[in-house]
Amino acid sequence: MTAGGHPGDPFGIPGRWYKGNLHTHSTNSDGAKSPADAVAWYQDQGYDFLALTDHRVLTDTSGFRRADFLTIPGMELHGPDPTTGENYHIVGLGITSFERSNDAWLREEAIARVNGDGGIAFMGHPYWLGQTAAHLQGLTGFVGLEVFNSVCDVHRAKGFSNETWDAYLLEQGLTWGLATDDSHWKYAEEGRGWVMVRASDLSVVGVLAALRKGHFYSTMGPAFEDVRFDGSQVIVRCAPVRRISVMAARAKGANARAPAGGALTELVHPLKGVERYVRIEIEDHQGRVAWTNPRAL
Amino acid sequence: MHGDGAHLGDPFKVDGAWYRGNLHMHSTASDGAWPVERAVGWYRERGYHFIALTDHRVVTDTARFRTPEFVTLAGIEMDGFDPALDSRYYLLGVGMRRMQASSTEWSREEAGQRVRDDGGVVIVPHPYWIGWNARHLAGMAGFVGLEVFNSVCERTQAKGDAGAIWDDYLDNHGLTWGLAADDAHWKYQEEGRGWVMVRAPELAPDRLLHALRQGHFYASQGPAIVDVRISPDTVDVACSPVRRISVLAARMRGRTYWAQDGSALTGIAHARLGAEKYLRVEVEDTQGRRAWTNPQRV
Repeated sequence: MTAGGHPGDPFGIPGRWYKGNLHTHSTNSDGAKSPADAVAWYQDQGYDFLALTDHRVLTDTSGFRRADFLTIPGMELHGPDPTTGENYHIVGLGITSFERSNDAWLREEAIARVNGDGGIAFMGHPYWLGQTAAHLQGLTGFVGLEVFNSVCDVHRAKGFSNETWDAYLLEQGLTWGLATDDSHWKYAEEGRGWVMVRASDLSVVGVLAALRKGHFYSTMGPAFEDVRFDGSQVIVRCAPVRRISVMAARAKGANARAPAGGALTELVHPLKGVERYVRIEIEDHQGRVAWTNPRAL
Repeated sequence: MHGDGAHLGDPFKVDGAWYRGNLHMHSTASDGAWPVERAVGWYRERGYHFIALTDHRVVTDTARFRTPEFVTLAGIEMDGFDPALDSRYYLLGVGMRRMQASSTEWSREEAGQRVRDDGGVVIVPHPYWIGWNARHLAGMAGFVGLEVFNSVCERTQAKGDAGAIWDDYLDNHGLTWGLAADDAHWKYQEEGRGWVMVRAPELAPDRLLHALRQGHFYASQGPAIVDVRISPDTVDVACSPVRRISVLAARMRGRTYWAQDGSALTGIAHARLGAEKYLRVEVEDTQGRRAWTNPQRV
């Protein structure tokens, strides 16, 4: 039986799925669309919620809210990261008390400021930044990292941070994985990565709480229907895909592939008790991937 | 332990021919499902120019399969406990002269040293699958490269692609080459999905080993890379028709180029962004098969 509300497990929780993009730019920083046009694009595509996350500045998007479309205040914060020698890129959501970030803030302070507002912080595009699990060692207070960042994929071939994520899960601990567009409206990156959040209603508080608990999955297209842990096995049900992968520590996972010309919609995988953590990846016939959050075992 | 000759990591300036090979495979001499004859024969019949049969902990004699058009190199996959990893290490040895077997008592350093002392090269297999990151590798000297793609790890664990680990190593620790290999166990349809294209003056064991040390090869799942020229301002790439050509560099200092609708790319002229540290090229065809050049210091 699924323990509803288990960290990292959105399946079996009452409520519904909400689709959202949590990393978006506009002409308020280096994006090519105005805030209104950026928001309208996601509204037209049927998204349920959006965070505009311009660099170093909060953009007021409250005027774009509708009963069926939520905007979440957000910002991409930057400052020195002594561990990489680069500026950090931390996405903060739910910010209420400051309109600009300060480039003098270290990572810890940026995260603390966001959390102090009741918000959440996650790490933008670690592969593109050269940020590895080692660089994140000892850093706390962030909910996850971008396992997929569309613009980094489209423009730099460094959009997938699954290697970094698995290293973190193996060496450091649990953290969630997010897919985002990081839309700049320049490279056809929009609409390629989003989160599906499980919540009882479409509100800032509800969405942020779900993100904090890992009650979401990330996708470039394929949908999960259910992922259930019953102690001795994990059962996955999903849209038709060409592979269902059980990702675990080192070589303790598995990969099921559809037969030639066919598709998979279900996997029953026995657990051995040595996995340490399990997360599920699926990939459809167009190469689009979806990721559940990890469960510690 | 890389060579220090001319054109490090650049096979495109080397006179000679391209030779296709797989440097990681198993037989019933360890945990492979096919006997040696069938395993080696599979590659020879498909036009590969060379292989190394790398059974676990044992060197299998493949000399009888050699022809003027097909070279076999001595090979072994060694393993033992790695305290730095708190888990098992795996290392490939290729081209040894006398070694017959490995011992799980050997540290990874000793395993590597024995291969090198015996004239061979050391390759780090499937780092993502092992749970090795760049830091774990940084303390180990003397390997020529790592598997940026391992077919059986992709097939069985979805952990075949180690591109981010490679880039982390190149960014933070030094130069090392990237290889693609099947790691054929003849159980998961992994064979024929990853190989190296070595540039050498002739098809001979010492020439192949020299090329592996110098980085005179590229790795592929299908696409052919015809030429890569790095100048102070540009990176010029020529390749078989693909949907994507990417210039990879430290962190965000590279760029990707996509084929426009309905067409294919066969080359790019990339304007360099500067401060790249290193440059390598990846291409991907319309079936999702990729090829990787070796990095060059810039």
